[in-house]
Amino acid sequence: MQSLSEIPVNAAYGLVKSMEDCGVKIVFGIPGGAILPFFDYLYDSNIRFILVRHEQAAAHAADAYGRVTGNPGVVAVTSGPGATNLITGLATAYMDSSPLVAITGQVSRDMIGRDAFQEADITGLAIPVTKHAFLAENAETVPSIFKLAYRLSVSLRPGPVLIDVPKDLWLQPIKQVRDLDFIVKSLPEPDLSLVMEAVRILLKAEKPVILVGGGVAIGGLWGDVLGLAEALNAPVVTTLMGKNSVPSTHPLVMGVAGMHGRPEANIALLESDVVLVVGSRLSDRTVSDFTSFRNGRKIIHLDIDAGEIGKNVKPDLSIIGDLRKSLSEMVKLASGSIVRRSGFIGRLYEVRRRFEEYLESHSEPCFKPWKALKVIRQSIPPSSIVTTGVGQNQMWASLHWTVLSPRTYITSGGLGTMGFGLPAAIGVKAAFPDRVVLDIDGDGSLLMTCQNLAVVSEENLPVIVVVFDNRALGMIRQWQSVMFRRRYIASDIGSKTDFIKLAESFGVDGVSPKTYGELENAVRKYSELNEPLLVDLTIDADELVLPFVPPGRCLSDMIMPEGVDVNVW
Amino acid sequence: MLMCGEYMLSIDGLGSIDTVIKILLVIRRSRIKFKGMEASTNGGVRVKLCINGLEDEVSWIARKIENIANIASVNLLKGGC
Repeated sequence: MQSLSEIPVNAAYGLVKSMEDCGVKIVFGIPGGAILPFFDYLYDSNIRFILVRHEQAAAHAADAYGRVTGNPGVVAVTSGPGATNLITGLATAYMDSSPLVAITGQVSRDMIGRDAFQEADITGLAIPVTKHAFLAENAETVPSIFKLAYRLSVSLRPGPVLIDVPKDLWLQPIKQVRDLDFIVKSLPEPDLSLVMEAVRILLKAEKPVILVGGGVAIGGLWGDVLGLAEALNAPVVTTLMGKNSVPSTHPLVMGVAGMHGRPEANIALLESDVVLVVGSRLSDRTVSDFTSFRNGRKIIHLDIDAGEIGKNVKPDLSIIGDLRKSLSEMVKLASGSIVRRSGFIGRLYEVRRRFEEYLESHSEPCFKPWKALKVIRQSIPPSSIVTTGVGQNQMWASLHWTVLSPRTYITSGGLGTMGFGLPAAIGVKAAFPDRVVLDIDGDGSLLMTCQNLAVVSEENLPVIVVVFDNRALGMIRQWQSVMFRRRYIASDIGSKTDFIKLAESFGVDGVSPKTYGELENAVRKYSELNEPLLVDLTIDADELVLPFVPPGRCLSDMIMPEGVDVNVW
Repeated sequence: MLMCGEYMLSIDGLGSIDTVIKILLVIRRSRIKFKGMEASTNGGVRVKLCINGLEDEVSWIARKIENIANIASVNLLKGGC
């Protein structure tokens, strides 16, 4: 309970005060009738409000802000469509375990359930895609609900939390702030006997592999994971979310595994006799067929979320609880053991060499995604943070982007939300205005949220957007090419959109380079100037993302580019 | 072990009807058969669920429900419906 001098005058004031107490610096969103009193109190606060051009973008921006800072991104929107427009963004954050607090205005309590103007049951809609959805029932609890939501969103496995505030509560005087009865759970301690057993299995293994998920980035555990990999001399492969967890340049990191995995990463998994899974939900995109993934190898699963254990792949051994404690204990136990696996790792390097040799030998004059990504990487500082759209652009980035340090690669891995890249870049730039932020996007993906280029210029959030422009929904076209006998329907999006004019109409410069040199010069120049830029990069519509494991098939069914032989045994 | 059978999930927690809905949302997208339930929200939430399914799936459902905010305890009993 707060002292009299701290008692807020009403719910709107109390909410803003709670935000300030929690250290909130930025709120993303769009105002509306049911939340205007809150905005009136925000007017007097030092909290920056970033006006986006669609509520979905507010959620993505806040999501990305949360991923790079570790603190929840905050969103404020109105009732009805303002709230329902958040749903895709909430689901995206939920799937990727990103901390976020969304505040929605609601119609007055006496109108709830009466189909009032701009009424939507947002708490009902949000339940499946949030950690919790609060409907404030009285003004006295609004300030404490925010503090609880803020804490809840980052506790244990992070995720989005929604607070719905009926319009009639905002200006109600508060005599006393009341806390809500709520159970906040604590992180369980790992069972050390299981940790010892896991190390015993790993030391005995001939070809152990560590599969790293997004949980390692969230928990800041890359040092522990790489320490264990070094102690075991075991290769590390990652999920799509796990690409953000470890530097691609570490000698034991083989890259992303799965449907569009690196060949050396997929072969590492295929050849393994033990897989240590750390902070991953083992999605279908990573392991493909669950049954075949399990066959012939032992699975050890480490996670803080007991709900992930056995969901898709039943492990032989699972350790639930504090991952840092488990991993540091494992490093201690494994250190000093003599393990020689240079033959296994050497063969994986050979697979990598053959794949990259193929890429180098197929560098036609037109832009190749892999090479463009290498050029962009060289054009921006190591501290830069990259976001991606969803589609072929995302998978090319997954295969070929070099992550130099963890938490610098932000992608919609779970929900696969097209349109994520630009608003996510805006959120990252708001968090780190002094760092270069670059969105690797596709034409189809960008066009879903491109109106937020207005936010880039109006809010002075200078991000660079590189559009891999193949005038197609490229991944759909690829699937139609590979699985539907090239019967292309609804995947070519036409040639009339002028991305340069589009960017310029929002006050953002646009360039369409013709050579890798022009690409490098443009990206380098605008990143040094800290100015926004859109780069329209023409890509052949027939360019495929390879390797490719068709959905539902085993990793061993990986389709390689023609002429690449990865059988090095 | 792949043992199929009838199970009772006994769940206690805080909150309101929304807590009950959250439990049901986990159940409705799982691979178990929902047989029936009793729920009360008198000073806390108490739910008894009668379900039928494979032991592994039922155990996983219990862990998923235990993860829900405001759930204090989940007890899984073989039979008992």
